[in-house]
Amino acid sequence: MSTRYQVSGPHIVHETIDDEVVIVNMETGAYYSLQGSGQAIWSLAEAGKDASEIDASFAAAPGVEPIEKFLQELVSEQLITVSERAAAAEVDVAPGEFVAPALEKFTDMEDFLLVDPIHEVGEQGWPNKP
Amino acid sequence: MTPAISILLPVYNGQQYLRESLASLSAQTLPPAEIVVIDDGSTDQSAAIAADFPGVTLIQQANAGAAAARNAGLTAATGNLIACLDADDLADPKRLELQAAAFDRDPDLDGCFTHLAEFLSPELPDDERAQLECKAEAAPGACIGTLMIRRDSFLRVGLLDPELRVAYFLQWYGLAQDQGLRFEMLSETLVQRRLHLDNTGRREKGRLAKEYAKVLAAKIARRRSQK
Repeated sequence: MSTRYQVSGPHIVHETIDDEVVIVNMETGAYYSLQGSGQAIWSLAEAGKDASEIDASFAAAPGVEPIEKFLQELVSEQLITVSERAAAAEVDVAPGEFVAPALEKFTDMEDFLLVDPIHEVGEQGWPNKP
Repeated sequence: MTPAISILLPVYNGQQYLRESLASLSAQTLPPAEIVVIDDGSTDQSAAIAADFPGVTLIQQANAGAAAARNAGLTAATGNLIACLDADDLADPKRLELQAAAFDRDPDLDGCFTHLAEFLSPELPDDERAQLECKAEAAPGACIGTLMIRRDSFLRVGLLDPELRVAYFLQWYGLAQDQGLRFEMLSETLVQRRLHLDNTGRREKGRLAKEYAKVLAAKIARRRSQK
């Protein structure tokens, strides 16, 4: 039985910028950078691929071990959680060569990320509250 | 030296709560030298309310967003200390006095935040109240709405990026951190944040993620280049 994942919830916001994924956990105020093949693994896992499917999508399959290890890291940071979801449809992610994935964590903006900023926006006028 | 405090209060279609916010500034134990209201092209009575309020300097601009409005206020302000308040929030009567005292205690201090409490706007009907989550306890208000800062310190970091709608202060603060500015968080709760329903705020979530990620990616890149 393969293990699939999903992003832990709407409090996890993430964007890909150039070759880097930046993830913000709005509940803890921590933010993360994924580098190397971390970006591809994140995108494929988010789309519902399991470790062996992610492994197989690399140009030269690195084996499931480093992929599972990285997924476990994402789980232990509570960025993704195990999901009962069905197998993913084909996704448009071509990871190319495997480069050791790296997860870097930053906590220097905690206080700022924990203050809800959404209240300052709104077409009806600002400041507005969520 | 007696501090001259300029309040910056940007508003966009905020007629409903603006008077109350201004009144909380009139009730300060240490009065501000000026209250600069920046009307960001409101289509309601915000500008008229501000213009009628004693002691208010009104700046009007075509709608350009909160960051641009704050920049206009910052440029016009004459005080050596700048304090920000949002147009629907309430300042505790001792807010300015206690924040100004922090600068007296510490001549090298650049900026000072306060704790922030939330309250449900009293006129809300029950069904709207039920949709809002109000924090039971005050928390550190690390946001521009509690900030008091030396005008020179603010401008040394630079004006806010008007292209950012939600992340402009996060970006500015990241730059301030990199430049070594010193901030203090007062333990007193001196600003009350009003909660009311705003569904457009929820619709901005996609933009929030993009702006936050962009700002934080730039901060990460700066850190790497310094190593």
